[in-house]
Amino acid sequence: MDNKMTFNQLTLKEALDGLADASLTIEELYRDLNLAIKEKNQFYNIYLNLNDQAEQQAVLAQDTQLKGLPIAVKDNFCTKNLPTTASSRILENFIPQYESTVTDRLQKAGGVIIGKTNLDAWAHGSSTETSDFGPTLNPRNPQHLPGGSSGGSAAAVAADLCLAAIGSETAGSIRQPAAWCGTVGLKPSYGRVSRFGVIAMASSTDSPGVIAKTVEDTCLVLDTFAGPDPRDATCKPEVAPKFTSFLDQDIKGLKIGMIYHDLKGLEETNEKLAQELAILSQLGARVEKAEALDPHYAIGVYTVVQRAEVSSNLARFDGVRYGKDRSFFGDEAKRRIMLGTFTLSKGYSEQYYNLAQKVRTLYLNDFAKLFKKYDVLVSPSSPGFAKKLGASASSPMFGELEDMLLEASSVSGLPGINVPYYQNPDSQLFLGANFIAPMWREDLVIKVADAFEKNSKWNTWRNR
Amino acid sequence: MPKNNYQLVCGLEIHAELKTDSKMFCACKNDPFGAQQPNIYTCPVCLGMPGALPLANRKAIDWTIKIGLALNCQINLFSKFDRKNYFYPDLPKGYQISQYDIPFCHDGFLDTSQGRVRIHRVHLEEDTAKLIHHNHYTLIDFNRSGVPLVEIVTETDIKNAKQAKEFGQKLRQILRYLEVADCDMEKGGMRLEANISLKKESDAADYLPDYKVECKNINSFRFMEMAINYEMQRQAQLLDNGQVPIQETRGFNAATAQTFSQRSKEAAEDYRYFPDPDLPPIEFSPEDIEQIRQSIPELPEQYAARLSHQYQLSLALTERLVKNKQRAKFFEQILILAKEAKIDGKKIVNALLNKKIDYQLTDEPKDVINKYQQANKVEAIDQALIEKQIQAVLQENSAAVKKYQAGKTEVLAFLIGQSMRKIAKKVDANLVKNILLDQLKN
Amino acid sequence: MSKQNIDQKLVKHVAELAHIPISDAESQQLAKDFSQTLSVVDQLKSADVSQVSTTHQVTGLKNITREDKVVEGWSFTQAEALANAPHVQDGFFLVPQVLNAEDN
Repeated sequence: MDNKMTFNQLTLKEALDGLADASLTIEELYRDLNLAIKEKNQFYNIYLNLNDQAEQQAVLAQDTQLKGLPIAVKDNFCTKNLPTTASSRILENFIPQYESTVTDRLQKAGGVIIGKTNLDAWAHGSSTETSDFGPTLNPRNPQHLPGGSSGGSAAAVAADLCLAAIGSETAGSIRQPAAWCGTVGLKPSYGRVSRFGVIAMASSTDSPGVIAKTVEDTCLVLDTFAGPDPRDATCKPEVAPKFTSFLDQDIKGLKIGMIYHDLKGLEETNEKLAQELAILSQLGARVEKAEALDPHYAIGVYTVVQRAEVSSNLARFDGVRYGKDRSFFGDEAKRRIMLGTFTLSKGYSEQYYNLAQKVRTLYLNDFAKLFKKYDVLVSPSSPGFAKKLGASASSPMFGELEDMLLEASSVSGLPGINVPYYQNPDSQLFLGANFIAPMWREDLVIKVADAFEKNSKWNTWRNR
Repeated sequence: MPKNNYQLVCGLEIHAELKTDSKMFCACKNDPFGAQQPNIYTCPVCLGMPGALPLANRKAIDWTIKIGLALNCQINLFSKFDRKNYFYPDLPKGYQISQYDIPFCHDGFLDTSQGRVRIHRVHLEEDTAKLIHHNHYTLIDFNRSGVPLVEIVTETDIKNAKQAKEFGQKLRQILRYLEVADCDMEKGGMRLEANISLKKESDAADYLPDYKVECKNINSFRFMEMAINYEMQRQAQLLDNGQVPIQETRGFNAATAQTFSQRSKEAAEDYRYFPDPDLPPIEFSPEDIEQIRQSIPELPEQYAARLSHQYQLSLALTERLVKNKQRAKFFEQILILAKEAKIDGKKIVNALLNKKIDYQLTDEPKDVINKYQQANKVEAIDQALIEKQIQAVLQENSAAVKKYQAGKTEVLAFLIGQSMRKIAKKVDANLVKNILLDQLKN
Repeated sequence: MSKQNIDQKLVKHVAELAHIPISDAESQQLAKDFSQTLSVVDQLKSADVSQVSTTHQVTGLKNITREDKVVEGWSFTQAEALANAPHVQDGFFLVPQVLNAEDN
């Protein structure tokens, strides 16, 4: 352990254990954390707003599941009496009078919201560069982007400015920034977690989830808020399992299919992944190449479906009941709203929207076929390392191309998890692996990711 | 008089607010008219706040099926909600949750005295907020936003304005009987729209004119009748002059009894309908539908027929009776009790309807029957006393008697009247007359 | 299939439908952006969808409804409802412009 290590650099589990055996006090933790935030937040532009009641709330939460530990929350979750901006000028002054189900449950379980993190405005992007309040920098290498749209949350974890973070994924927005920041990102099945109070992006794929330092930490947090919600009709009515029960499992005999292994431009990324997956073979799993439907179609599916749904979801922002008027939408938001409107409009909906929803079915069917043969599928989370600042301006389709490897599983609602599998010693940047499983089978992705993490050397916090 | 003979091509679109306890997609109180203050029955959902999600009211769905069945519709066993996208300040989400291609009910009918009016569809949607217009600004009250609204659309079977009125009244009666809506038009509980165009009588039966005028904001059946008649005249005049009426929305001015132009509708709205991703589809089993069918109470038509048959009342009378369900039930109680007591129920009903007896619908039926019997008691006749009283009348009115005996028989009526006054009890006038005649002979 | 011709006129029409105010310059740039995006989307047309129907929801859930009950705890007070509004008057939201007095 580093002599200069501070308490904010602990994992969530270590902090819980420390509080339990009194080797650390909550005040000490917040002292170190607040210092770190003071030092780094402005530079990395991670938190848009901080909760000045955090420490007081934490002190009062010692007798709870999460014992007042500081959790970062992506700023598209409505938090009562705490500003919620979706990183857009339109909601710059919006203070919700209601709480999202996720943050309500998190807080009732003793988690304390330390602050609201930066994101691509309205979650439109894979870089955090389209935030109306400036990009977030990647704590691994500040000349690079943290990914998006949950870039702020991933950076908060990577920079030890929280003990875990809440994010949301519509198509890659948890797993990709987690990969670019060298952290763990868990996207549960669509419908596993309530979307009530999460500013809607693509209603049929939005999935709240967790970005944290270890697989174990993501489970500890997810356990506090997953499960049925009478306020969300698309949330599975059955009680969620205890995700922590899927840790430390034997993966002998688990069949793992490596997809997208022969995509052009991913040679280096795939080669490194294949090398690292040997760890799993050594643990008794069976890893082999698998053929999946070309992920390029998923770009089209996602592009159309997301923009169509978001064009409708953002229609409520007219400046009458809250927020500013529509002239305050940023460029990316304007593009997406208009393209979505176009693909739903008379004369075009059949060739775009309906077609996209049919191709979506092709992916559902393809995964169903693959999962008959394999328990879990794996691929890189991202085509390469975190890109440099300014990269997202290169194309209006930047996000979609970056998320190509994750879009198919997102539009199919599958659970997925990113774990780091390589760090470049020069750039300090990471590559991450995406494990996916059938709908409702978080147990499979958690157990394989957990095994991988504990038996590899790539997790920053397990390998100090 | 129009030069050509034109035929009305008219379909109606009627919206009715359902009287559920809570709103359609949220748990706010459903009482927009009764709210003492604006914006007190709102929540993130019906205010369209960021991150809010809809949750469908089961009762509103079941009631929509009930309405469809009462209107002889087919029920779609698989149905869903769709988003109808457009912008207006009374629509907080920028879309209305409604139904597009798979409405809950379709292809039904309602019979009127002028024939059958086919019903194209019955679907469920949410109501908008209430706007209050001022000179330089508009106020918005969201108490009404999200209230369940049933939309009933007819085919273009309406033959004339009178039939439109009859249809509207019958529909309202059915909705009230089902106890799903109060349809109080002053409170906005029922809203009428008529789509009106004309075709020549010589046109084919299934020919549809290439324009239609939508008449909105009609808040009574009488006004709807007037609006349709006015429109028929206005359009006929235009057509006679070789012009085609503009496809537009028109309102109705009650003061002038005329329609007026509100908005041009040449470019049809592009609502960009798509299935609402926040609401899983609805699926019924045939057993579900049957259960709802069983819960339908006796409807006005059957009720009137049954009362007529059971109690030998004319159909005209019972149809009048069943116009108000509460009153009809009250009268039925009276008829039942009367039958048990072997009294003539018909007479009592007539007396009540002709306001000969005072009553409240909250009275006990048996008390009302007693009241009637008191009022119509045929008292015991003391013949001897009556004869004596009539004798006294004749003695007091010797002049009249002389007149009668002189042949002026019309004076008899006067004597009968005097006798009735003296007797001062309810007696058969014929009896009095006979006794008089008898005594006058002597 | 022919490539979709995205011109400024179409962009302006869409902007109107979407209530997004855009300048002439913006509509030019947007036309280019649209074309670029749609050329990626057009890849969809090479997929074989003859055997499948649309998927709008992936959960497979059906008949998720709620009981007809008022839940006080989920409702706003008038103050909460109006808390974020830029213009209010006497408990109403206020829109500082004249609208067509045409709808109920």
